[in-house]
Amino acid sequence: MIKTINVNKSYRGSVHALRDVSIDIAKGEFVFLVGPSGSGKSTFIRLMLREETPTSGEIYVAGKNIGQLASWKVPMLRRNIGCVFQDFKLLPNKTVFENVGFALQVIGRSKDVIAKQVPEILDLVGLGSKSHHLPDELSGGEQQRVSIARAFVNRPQILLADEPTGNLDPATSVDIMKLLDRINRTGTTVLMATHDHAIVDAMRRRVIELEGGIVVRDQERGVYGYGAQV
Amino acid sequence: MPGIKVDYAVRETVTNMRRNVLMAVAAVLVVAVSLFLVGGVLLVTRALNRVVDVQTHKVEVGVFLIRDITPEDKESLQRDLLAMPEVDRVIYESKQEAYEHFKILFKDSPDIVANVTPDSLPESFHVKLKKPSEFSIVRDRLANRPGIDKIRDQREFLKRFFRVVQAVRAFGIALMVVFAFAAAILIATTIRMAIYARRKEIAIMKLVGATNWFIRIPFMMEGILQGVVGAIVAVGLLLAVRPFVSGIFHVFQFLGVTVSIKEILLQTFLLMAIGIGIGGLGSLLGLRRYLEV
Repeated sequence: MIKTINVNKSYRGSVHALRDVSIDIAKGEFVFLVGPSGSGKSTFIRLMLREETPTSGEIYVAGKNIGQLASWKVPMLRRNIGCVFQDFKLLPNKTVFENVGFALQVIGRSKDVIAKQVPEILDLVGLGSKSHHLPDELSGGEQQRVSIARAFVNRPQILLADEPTGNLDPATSVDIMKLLDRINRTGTTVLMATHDHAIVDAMRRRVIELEGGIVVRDQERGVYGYGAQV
Repeated sequence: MPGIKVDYAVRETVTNMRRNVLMAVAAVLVVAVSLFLVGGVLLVTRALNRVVDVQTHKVEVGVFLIRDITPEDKESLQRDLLAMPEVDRVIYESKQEAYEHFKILFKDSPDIVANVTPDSLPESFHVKLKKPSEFSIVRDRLANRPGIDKIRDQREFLKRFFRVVQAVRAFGIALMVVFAFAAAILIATTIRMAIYARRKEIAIMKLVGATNWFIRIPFMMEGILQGVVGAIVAVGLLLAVRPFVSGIFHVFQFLGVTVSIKEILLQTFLLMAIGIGIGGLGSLLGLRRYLEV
């Protein structure tokens, strides 16, 4: 599902954000990307979204070599990738329903589709009763659920999460992880960048550790039946 | 939704709109001024060209005869002139007729008329050409003919006038290009502000896979709308200014310069097309870089 071959990314020729990164993530895997700040986690996520292109090396996402992807095809790539961030990135003047529906609206889905899919996904994330609230009427955990609902409403094959629990207390973080786990069980590949060791230890999933842009550890931990071979 | 939130949303929207409306009004006005110039220059030069055209067609070639021309030379000259394919008509003007014209021409200066006698004026043929531009052909044919004193092409008069018209047009076009460019830049700025105000939404749109055109089109529509409104304002300005300009032109009444309301209205489509062009260009300029994938 995600495969990188000898990917290097350097800025202005001198700052090496990623060095020789080769990773292979199968469909349906749940992978933690860990490492201290500045280790290259965010750069890796941006490369997956093709917000940036690698300095050298190849990146395959959902079977496509995205290093060579024409820029007009990038939106189609992103429709296969859901994205969740530490700061939620919700629109403050839109309701929960509108925030989630917006993701469908802007890729040209009809009102009927939106009216059907948004309540479904809000039920899935447990916010069915709050669809007419504005984001700042919700708790941080609830806001992150909205953001996950928005990322997943289009049923992408891949879910990228960049520090999704970074702003949340431990109890709320566990709820969010349960939700991501549920999404993973539907066959969605989940790649989560984090430096929350408690969560990583508790989840016991594959861990890829970056340090100074280099992969220093790639460890399978407790790969169950729904893992690599799906 | 609790009432206080509606209040907040409305207030923020109004604030946003007011900020953008001022910019939009500025852009529309600059478009209007530039299109007003475009329209004005086009209308005025067209009117002046019309005048030049009409006058050129009225113009004759004067073939002035020497004092002691023989009747045979005069006769053969007239015959040959009429035989030339370029010549439309030939009118003979005797000394007496020339004197009558002279008296009319200088009716306000009786002392000049008093100093002139019919005999002091030359006889002439007034040759009307089919095409005024063929003057040089006729002149060459008449070269070395006996009995001719001077051949005068009255177009020379108009040439100077024509040069003025062209200078006016060149200046107008230069001014108009500068204004059109300024208008496009202003529209680009309003679009950039609109993008900035909605940057969060745009970031999310890009993230969930909205195509660039899906994101661009509303902004382009905004720019194009500004161009169209500017064009309409420009037409209004032209209509409003027409009586004053006509008043100025009345000074040159003999040239018959007029611009009709109909002519202005017919230009609306052209100005709108240019307005759409400026608006589209401006919004593309504003969108460039900011909406790259």
